[in-house]
Amino acid sequence: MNRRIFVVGTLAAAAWFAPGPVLAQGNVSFTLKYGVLAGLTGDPAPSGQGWNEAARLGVNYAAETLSKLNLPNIKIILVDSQDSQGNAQAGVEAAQKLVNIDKVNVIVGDFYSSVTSAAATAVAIPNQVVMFTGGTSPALSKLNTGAVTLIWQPVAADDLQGRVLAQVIADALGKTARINVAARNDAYGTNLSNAFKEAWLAGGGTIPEMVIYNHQQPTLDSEAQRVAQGNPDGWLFIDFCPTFEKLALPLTRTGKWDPAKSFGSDTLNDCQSKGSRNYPGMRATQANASSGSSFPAFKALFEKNAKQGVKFQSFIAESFDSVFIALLAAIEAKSSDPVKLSEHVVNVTNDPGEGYTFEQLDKAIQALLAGKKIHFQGATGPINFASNGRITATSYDIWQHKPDGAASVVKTITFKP
Amino acid sequence: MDFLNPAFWTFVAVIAGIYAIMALGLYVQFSLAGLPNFGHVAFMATAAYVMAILVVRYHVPLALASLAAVGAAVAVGLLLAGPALRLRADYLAIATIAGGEIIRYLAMNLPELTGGPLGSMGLAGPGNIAMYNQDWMALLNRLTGALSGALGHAVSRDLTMALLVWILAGLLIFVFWRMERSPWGRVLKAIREDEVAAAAVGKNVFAFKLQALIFGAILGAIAGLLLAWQIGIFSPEDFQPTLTFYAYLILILGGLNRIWAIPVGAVLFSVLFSGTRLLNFFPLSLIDSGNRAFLRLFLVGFLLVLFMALRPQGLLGNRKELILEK
Amino acid sequence: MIEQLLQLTVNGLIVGTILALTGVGASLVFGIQRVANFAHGEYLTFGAYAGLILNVYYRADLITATIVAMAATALLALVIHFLVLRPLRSRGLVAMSLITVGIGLMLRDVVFMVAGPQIRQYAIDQTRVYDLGLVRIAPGQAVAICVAAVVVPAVAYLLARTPIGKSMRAVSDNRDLAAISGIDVDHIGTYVWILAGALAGLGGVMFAMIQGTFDPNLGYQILFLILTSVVLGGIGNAYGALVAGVVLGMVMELSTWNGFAGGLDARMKPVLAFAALIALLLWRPQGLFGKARVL
Repeated sequence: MNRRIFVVGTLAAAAWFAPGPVLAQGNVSFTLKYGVLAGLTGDPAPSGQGWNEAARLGVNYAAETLSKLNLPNIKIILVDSQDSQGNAQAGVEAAQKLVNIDKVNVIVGDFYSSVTSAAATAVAIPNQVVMFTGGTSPALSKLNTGAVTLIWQPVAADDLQGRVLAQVIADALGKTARINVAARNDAYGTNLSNAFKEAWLAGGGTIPEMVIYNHQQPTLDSEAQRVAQGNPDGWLFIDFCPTFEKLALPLTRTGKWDPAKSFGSDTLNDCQSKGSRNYPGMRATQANASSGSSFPAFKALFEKNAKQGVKFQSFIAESFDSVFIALLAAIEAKSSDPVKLSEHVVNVTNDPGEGYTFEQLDKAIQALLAGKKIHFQGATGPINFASNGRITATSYDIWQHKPDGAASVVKTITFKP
Repeated sequence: MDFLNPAFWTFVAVIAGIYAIMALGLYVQFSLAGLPNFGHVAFMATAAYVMAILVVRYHVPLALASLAAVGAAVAVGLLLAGPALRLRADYLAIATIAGGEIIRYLAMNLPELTGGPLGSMGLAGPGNIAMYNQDWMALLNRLTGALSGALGHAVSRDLTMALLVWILAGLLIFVFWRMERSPWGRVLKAIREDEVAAAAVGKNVFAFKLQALIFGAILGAIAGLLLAWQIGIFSPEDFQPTLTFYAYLILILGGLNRIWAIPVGAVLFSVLFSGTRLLNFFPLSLIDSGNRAFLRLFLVGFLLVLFMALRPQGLLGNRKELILEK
Repeated sequence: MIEQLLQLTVNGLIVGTILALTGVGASLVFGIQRVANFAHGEYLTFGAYAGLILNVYYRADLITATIVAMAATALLALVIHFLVLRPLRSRGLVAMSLITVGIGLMLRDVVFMVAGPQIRQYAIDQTRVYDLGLVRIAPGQAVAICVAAVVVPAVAYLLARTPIGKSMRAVSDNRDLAAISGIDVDHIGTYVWILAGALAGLGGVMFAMIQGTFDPNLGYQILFLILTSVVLGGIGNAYGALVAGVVLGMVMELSTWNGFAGGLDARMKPVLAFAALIALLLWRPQGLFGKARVL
C-alpha cells in the first residue's frame, strides 16, 4: 500500500511537472484562419505589399513556434490575401471573398480608412469577423456599436497623433512658433495635418504655409519651394518615406531647409530602414515607449525573409503584431471563434501579466496554456488595447535621424490626452 | 474553400446588375448616338456625391436627394453637350476623360464639400463615419422581410438587392429597346451612320445627340446611386477612368450593337473580374500572395486582349455588323 | 517673387519637354495607326526600368543606359505592334483603345512582379545642386535639360527634313493621298512605332531622373497628361505635340506663382491642365494645330 501510494505519488508528480503540451493537448484545439485585406496593386502597392509580407511572416513564425512546441491541435493558417486596390468597392468584394469563401476568422487590413469602414460595415460586422486595421481615422473605433468589439485599431489615430505632434513641436520650438506644414494629398496626410493644425492653432502657434501635394506628380520642385520659403521656425512633414524622398530632394536643393528644425509623423521616423534616406537632425514621433524592444528583431526578420522587391514600410509592424495578438487571444479564449477571441484581446495586451515579445512567443503560449495571464509586447510597443478598439499609448518616442544616416530614439515623453 | 458560396456570388450579382445599368447608359451614348464618351464615370460620381452631401450635411430625405442627384448628373451631361457636338470622335474620347478626371480631382481636393480623399466617410467631420444609406437599408430590410414571408424561408438582404437591381435593369433595357426600334431610335441610327444626310433631311442632329447624352447621364446617375447604396461608403478612388473602360468592355463582351447582350456582357465581365479572385488554389497557391494580386490583373488584361482578338463581335454579336469607325 | 517665377519657368520647361517628347510619339501613333495608346505610359515605365538595370546593375553610365533603354522600348513597341495591334487593326477606335488598356495592365503588372513595388533611384546624387544664381537645379534635371536641348531639335529636324519624317507627317495628315503618292503606308506605320517607342523610353529615363525616385506607377501617373498634350496640339500633328507639351508643362507650373493672386493650389495643377484642354477644344475643336473638320 505504501509502495502503491509512492508510485502513484511519483506519477502524479511527474505529470504535474511535465512540460506544458502534455497538459494542453486535450484542452485547446482550433484552427485559426487569417485573411489579409490590402491595396496590393496600383498606387497603394508599396505599402500594401509590405503589409501583406509582414502578416505572412507573422503567421509563418507563429506556425513554426506552434510546431516546435508540439501542439498539433492548434493550427494557424493564412488562407489568402486579397487586393482591395485602395477603393471601397473592390475592398468590399475582397472582404466578401475572404469571409464567405475562405471563411477566415481574422482579417488583417485594410490600411485605408475608407476601405476599412466599408468592409467593416458591409462584411466583417454582419458576419462577426475580427478586423485589425491600419487605418488612422479616429472614427474607425466608432464602428464598434455592438456588444463585442470586432474592429481593432493598433495604429495611433490621427486625433491623438496630431496633438502629440503639437506638444512635441511646442516643447522643442516654442508654442507660438511659425511652422510650415507639408502633407501628402490622401486621407492620411490631409486628416493628420488638419488634426495638427487644430491643435497647433489652439495652442497659439501659426502655420504660414500649409502645402498639400499630389505625391503622384512628376516633380515636387514648386511645392518644395513653397514649403521652404518664408523663413519659418520649423517644419512638419506628413508622408511616407518613399514619396517623402520626392519632396525632400528638391527641398535640400533650395538651400533654405533645415532638417534639424523639422518634424515628421510616425511614418518618417527611420527612412533609411525603409529604402530611402534619413535627413540628419530631423525628428519624428512614434507611439508607444521604446517602440517595442522587439522592433529591431522584427526588422531583422523582415529584411531576411521578406520577398525581393518589398521594402520595410511604416505600419507593417502593426500588421505583424496583429497576427500574434489574435493568436494569443484565441488561445486564451480556447477558440478560434472571432467573437470569443475578441473578448480576450484587451486581456492579452494589457497589464497585469508577464511581458512577452514575439521572440518569446513559445513561452507566452505555454504561460497561457498553463492558465497564466500575459501581456503581449508588440514590435510596436506595449499596445494596451482599450475596450473600444483603440490603443491607449501614453508614452511617445521621439526619433532623430543621426549624422551617420541611421536613426534612434532620443527622448520618450508622456502625453496626457 | 467554398467556391460556390451563395453570399459571395449574390454580391457579385448585385454589382453585375449595377454595371449592366451603367453599360446601358454608355450604350445609349455610344452605340445609339455614336458618341464615344470615355468620361461616363463622371455621371456616377456626381450623382453619388450630390446624394451623399444632401443626405448627410443637409438632412434631405433620400428620395428628394436622389432626384437632385440625377438632376446634377444631367447638368453635367448638358455641359458635355457643347463639346460633344463639335468634336471628332478621338478628340471627344480624350476630352471626356479629362472631364471625368476634373470631377474626380475636385472631389478629392475640396474636402469642405466632399470629404476629400477620405471620401463619403468624412462628410460629417473627422470624428464620425458619415453614412447616407440608412433609409435605403431600412427599405431593403422591409422588402427582405416581405420576400422571406412570401417565399417561406429566409432571404438575405443582398439577394433582395440583386433581384431589385436586375428587375430594374431588365425594365430599363426593355424601355430603351423599344425606343431603339421607334422612330426616335431610327433617326439616331441615321445620324450615327451619316450625319450629313440626316441633317440634310431636316433632322435636328444637335437635339437628338443631346437627348442621348441626357439619357446616358440619367442611367449613369442611377448606376452611381445604386452602387453608393450597396457599398455604403465611397471615395474618389471609386470613380477612376477605369470604370468607364469596364463599361465599354461590357458592351463589347456582349456585342456592341445588341442591347439585350448587355446583361450577358455584365455577367461575363463580373465572372472574369471577381472570379479571378478565387485563384488561390493549387498550383497557383505556390505563387506568393503578393504576386498573385499582380498576376490577377495581368490575367484580366490578357483575357481582355485575347477576347478582342478571337471574338471581336462579342458573345452575341454578328461579325458582319462590326462597327467600322472613321 | 521673380526668383520664384524663374524657378517655376525652369520647372515647367523640364516637365514640359518630357511631355513634348513623349507626346510626339503618341500623337503620330494616334494619327497614323488610329490608336489611342493607353499603354503609352507603361512604355515610359519600361524605359525607366530598362535604364535602371543598365545604370545600377551593370554600372553603365547614364548615356549608355539611356540609349539601351530607348532601343529596348522601341523593340517592345515593335513586338506589341506586330503581335497584337497590327493583326487586330480593323476593330475600330474603341476596341483598339480597350486592347491598349489591356496591354497596359499586363505591362504594368509584369514590371510589378519582376521589379517589385519598392522605389528605385538612378546612380546619381540627387541632393547636389547647381546654383546658377537665380535658379537652382539638380544634376538629374540638368541632364534632362541638356538631353531635351539636343533631342527636341533633332526630332524636329527628322520630321521636317528627312524623307522618313516627311512621309510620317504625310501619312498622318492624309493617309490616302500619301498612299497614292507612293509612300509605303504600312512600312511607315512600323517606323512610327520605333520612333514612338524610342521617345517613350527616353521620356521614361528622363522622368525617372527628374523625379529622383520612381516605382512602377510612374507611367500610369503621367499617362493622361501625355494624352492631354497630344490632343491639345492636334492629334497626329507632331509639331503640335511638341509645342503643346511644353505649353502644358509651363502653364501647370506657372499657375502656382505667387504673383497670380497667391497662385493656384498645387493640388489643382492637373485640374488646370484638363480644364485648359476642354476650354481650348471648345474654341478650336481640332486642337492647336490639328486639321479642321470638313463638316
